[in-house]
Amino acid sequence: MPTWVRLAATALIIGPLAWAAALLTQDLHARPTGRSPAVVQNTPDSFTLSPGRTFRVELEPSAFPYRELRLVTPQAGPARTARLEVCAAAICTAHQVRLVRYEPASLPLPSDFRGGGVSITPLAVEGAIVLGSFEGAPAVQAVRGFSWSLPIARAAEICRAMTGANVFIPLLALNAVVLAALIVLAITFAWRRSASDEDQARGASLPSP
Amino acid sequence: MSFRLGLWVVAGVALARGTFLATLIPPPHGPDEPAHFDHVQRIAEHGRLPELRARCAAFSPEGLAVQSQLRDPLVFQPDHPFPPLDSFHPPDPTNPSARATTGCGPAAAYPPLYYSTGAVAYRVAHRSPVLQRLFAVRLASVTWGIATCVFAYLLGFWWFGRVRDGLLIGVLAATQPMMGFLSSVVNNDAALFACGMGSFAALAWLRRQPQSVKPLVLLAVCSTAGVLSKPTYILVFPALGFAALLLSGSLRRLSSWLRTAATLAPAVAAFVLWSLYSQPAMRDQLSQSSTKVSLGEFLRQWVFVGHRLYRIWVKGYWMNWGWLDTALREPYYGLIAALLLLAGVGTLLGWRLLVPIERWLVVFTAGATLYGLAILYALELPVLRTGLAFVQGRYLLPIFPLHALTIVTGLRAFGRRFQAYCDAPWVFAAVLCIIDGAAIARSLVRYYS
Repeated sequence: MPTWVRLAATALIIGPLAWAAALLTQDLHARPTGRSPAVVQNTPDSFTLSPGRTFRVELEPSAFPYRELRLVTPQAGPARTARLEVCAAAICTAHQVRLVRYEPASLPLPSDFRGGGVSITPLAVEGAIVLGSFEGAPAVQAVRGFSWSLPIARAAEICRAMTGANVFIPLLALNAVVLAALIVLAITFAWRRSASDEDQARGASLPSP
Repeated sequence: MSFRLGLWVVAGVALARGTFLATLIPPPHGPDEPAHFDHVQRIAEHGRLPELRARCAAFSPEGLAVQSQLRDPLVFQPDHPFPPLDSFHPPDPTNPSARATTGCGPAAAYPPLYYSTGAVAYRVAHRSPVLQRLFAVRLASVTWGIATCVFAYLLGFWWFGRVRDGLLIGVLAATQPMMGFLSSVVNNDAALFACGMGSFAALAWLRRQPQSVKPLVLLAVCSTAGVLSKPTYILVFPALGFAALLLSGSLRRLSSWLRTAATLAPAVAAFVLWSLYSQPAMRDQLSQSSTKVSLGEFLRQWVFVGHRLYRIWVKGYWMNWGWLDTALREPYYGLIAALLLLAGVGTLLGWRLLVPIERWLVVFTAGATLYGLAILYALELPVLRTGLAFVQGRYLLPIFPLHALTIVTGLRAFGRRFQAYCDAPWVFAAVLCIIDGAAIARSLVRYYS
């Protein structure tokens, strides 16, 4: 068999492995956002942004800093823009946001903001923009994290309730080691194949354990 | 690697992975987990089987609290993370009425084998809060999962004749994401997979020792336990019987027929007895026909529909965790499909290089799979008339042992045909490990971010 054919066949076999590794790397790099619904105070589920009319959300105290608010619009049609002033922890900043269905708009919060009241005042609004829940996503979501530590901490909390012990992190670490060891073992065996041994085993009698 | 070391490695991997997944998947987000837990609770708390009515006011008050507060807000709503535990208020577990249940419900008609093992675990954690009891029952599933992987190891060892290949099939079973998941939550599929793997391991043993009685005893035990875990296991019996006939002698010999019949007779008797007992619940379930669906309409709208076929037999077979509402990104399924395609191509192009028993395996697996698909769709039609969809990818997992052997054979045939520099089945195992890692990351994002 020509070498190039053997190389091509080998590439076809290991291609999916490289592809899988790339996908997992992407997934691990795109760290989770740590979303949680934020209740907009004294406001109906769905409401229209009006210049000068402030709405407030109260974010519960958190060990992880809040990074941003995400605003959801159920409105169909073209994207609309608004300029919003966000005040949290006595710091006010203005941001231009673009609102369109299926794409929540991000509204950054002051750094190291760990909970409390946030007020949002529309300074300028293009047309009539409605904020409201859409396909299960609430009108306003608070985003913490951009890190794996938040979901791991939450999973550890649930695990503690189920097991009565702090075992999630050790189990996660053990599982990571087991999977990594299996991958190394599998790749080692994949490259150290023994064709003669294999051919002998095919159809041969059982070796004693 | 010695036989014993390989066995311990596979069992250890299954234990570590199963225990971790049992803590990762939030309660009660296994498929129908509240119903299965309720069945366990009925046996553990009352020492009796569930009342045989399929539809009724099911579940204990604490089971209802778990379902309504921890499950209902999330299922099929990927934007909703798992709620904070301080918002979970189950009834006082020291009050016996909080645990009282009739057990009737979607899982009532299942036989008690799996649920009895769950009830033992439940009794061990009897004084604990409901979530800890649920976790204890999950650990009973993990034990079944370990049995699945150990049988997979034996299957590979007996079929291929090498410890290394036993390890390969054991690793494939341990890292098949859907099997790992269902063996870590409260679900009688955990026992079904162990019994299915044990049955096929017995057949592989029979191939090596056709005159021995021991493989037939193992087959009899596993097939009976399978039927007593989930009666639909009886549907696999034509394949088991046919394989046992061929492997224990010949279709022409009367003694082969008698040996096979005697081997499967206990399981068939168990099935008949249980069917007679559970008839009221099944009749209750199927008598609720409300939808008229013609055969033509069924075939057009439910069977030969590309996206449904893909969703069920690719995603649902390989990875669809949680309340069957948590899938991976599409490219992951694409690369599984690519490797399966490679195995298929390898089988076709390397057909001449296969020894007769390998050809027999490929044809047998193809036949068993087509038969399984036909029978599952045949069952779906009457169930569909009650207003429920039935077929799920996991229902084909009891014949995963055949699929694993055939995938390994096909990938090896590809490598042999083109003299590749590596052993393709081990690459497939590495890919499944990576997909498992991705499934864990996906669950963390889905439930806890």
